[in-house]
Amino acid sequence: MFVLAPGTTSRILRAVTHVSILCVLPLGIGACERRSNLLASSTSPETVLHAEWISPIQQFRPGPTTLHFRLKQTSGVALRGAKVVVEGNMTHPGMVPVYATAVETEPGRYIAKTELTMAGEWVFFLEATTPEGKLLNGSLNSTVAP
Amino acid sequence: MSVMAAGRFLKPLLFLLAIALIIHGLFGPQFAPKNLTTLFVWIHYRGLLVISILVFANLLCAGCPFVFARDLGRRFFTPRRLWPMKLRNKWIAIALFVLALFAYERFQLWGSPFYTALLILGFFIVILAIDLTFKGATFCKYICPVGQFNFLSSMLSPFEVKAKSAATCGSCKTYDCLKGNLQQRGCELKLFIPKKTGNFDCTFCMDCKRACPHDNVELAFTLPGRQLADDLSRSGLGRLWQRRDFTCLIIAFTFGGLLNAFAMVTPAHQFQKMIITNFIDTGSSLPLVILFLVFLLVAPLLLFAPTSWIARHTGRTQSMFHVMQIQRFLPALIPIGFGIWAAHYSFHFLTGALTFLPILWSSVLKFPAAPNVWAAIPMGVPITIVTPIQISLLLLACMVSVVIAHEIALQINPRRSRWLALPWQTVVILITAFAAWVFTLPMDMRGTFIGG
Repeated sequence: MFVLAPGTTSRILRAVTHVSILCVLPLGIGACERRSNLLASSTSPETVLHAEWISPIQQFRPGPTTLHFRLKQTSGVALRGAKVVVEGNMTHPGMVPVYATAVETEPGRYIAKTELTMAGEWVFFLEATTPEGKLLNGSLNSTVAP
Repeated sequence: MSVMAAGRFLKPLLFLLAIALIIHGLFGPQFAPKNLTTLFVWIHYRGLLVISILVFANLLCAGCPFVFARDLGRRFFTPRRLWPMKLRNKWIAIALFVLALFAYERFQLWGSPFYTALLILGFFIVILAIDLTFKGATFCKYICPVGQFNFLSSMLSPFEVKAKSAATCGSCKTYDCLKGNLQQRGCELKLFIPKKTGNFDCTFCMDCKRACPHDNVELAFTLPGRQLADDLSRSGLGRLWQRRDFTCLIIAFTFGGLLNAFAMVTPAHQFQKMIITNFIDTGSSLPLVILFLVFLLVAPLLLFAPTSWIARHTGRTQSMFHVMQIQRFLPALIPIGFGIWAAHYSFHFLTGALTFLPILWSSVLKFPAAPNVWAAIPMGVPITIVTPIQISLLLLACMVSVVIAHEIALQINPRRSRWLALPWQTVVILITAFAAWVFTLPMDMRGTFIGG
């Protein structure tokens, strides 16, 4: 009968575990790459809000600030009469976000008053509810100078 | 709740949290402020780490999730090898500590949930690979960069694991606290309780207490920082100040803390931008390499060489070699080093302590966004209050460092102790002044924009 030397089973199992652990890493990376792609395409084109700055963003400084931006739907048509909520986040985690409700000043043009708490990189998430009740999402980036 | 109970409760809890953070980091939203992995690891974990060390002890090593995974692994695999003698020092850990600091800046780890999750996963993989092969707490003692940070910092903790009665230890013949017994393992970091001094290398796992048949191990109050001036040979370590690896660890710890804080403010960005604009292409690591060399090599050299030379003359210790004097006085930098880390981490933790609530609400629990509610809730302490806290921490740390420097000088030359300590106290004050300048500068937060 075939008999393994003492400790052989343990060594084999240990080797299998080490190899398995090492295999988990690339599998995880692969899975996450796929997931990232999914995330990128998870927002359907109809719900994408196209936003662009009107404000001269290079002049942003910490303190009370008025954000001016233009919003368009995917079709390129200006977004009119929407209720727009702005959430400003610094790209560094752990910084308190700022919130504001934007007001339409001209068709497709909105302003939101907020307070930029710190210099650095900011991302403003825009959530617009159209008069028909459709929810659109977009974002704007800016760097606030010290 | 005792530390034993805390450790037993914390380990599985933090293990589950670590698994959850890996999943959220890999599969959750990839915008750092909206991801629990980046938030908990870089803001809350580090904040709670310094607070627990300051008010209690090395609690996060006691509840380490990686050790929990290792212990699970050891139920199936018994390690048989011993860690090579040549590697029984802190050099690998120091290299990993500096590498971690560099990677943090270079790859903006705070801004990447994915890489942060991989980092946690990496810790699990490495501890399992090392500690299922080698006996004892090899990973904790010789590899773990976070552990070394905790070991150094906990030298300032107000609690210490020690023997209740030296006489009871004197009559002990079994040394279960070190060797363990059939029911309970002993100290895996090779700290023998009767000869253990201070908290360095102690994970507060309390294995020694569980193993002691005489119930002679306790968690006792100690004067924070007192152990830094000791010139005693420590169990499992020897005389700490005589060890070059310990000296380099202190330099990496103190000046790394300074660098890590400096990297958050505008002058650091301007310096890097200036190098990129004038000399090299965007994307190169050179500006960061230069910054690291300046902080971890040039600055210590420029500070310590003349200080040691002056102190030799003012303290009349001409017989003491320069390097020896530097090594002897460097433990005095640990309090200010810790003060810098504590001031930095407490800023992030205090200003954003509750910022995880909207993420839990919307991203994890999938409840509808409630911006009006979040706008009404204060999610952290205002910066106007946090900055004085930071400066107070720095000043307190500076005072402790100054006292420790004097304690060390007293041991070297009691007659000229004041004059011997003075140059080293000046170094402490210079470091404090630089740190205070950094912390009073407006922060210039960077991260990674979505889509690069």
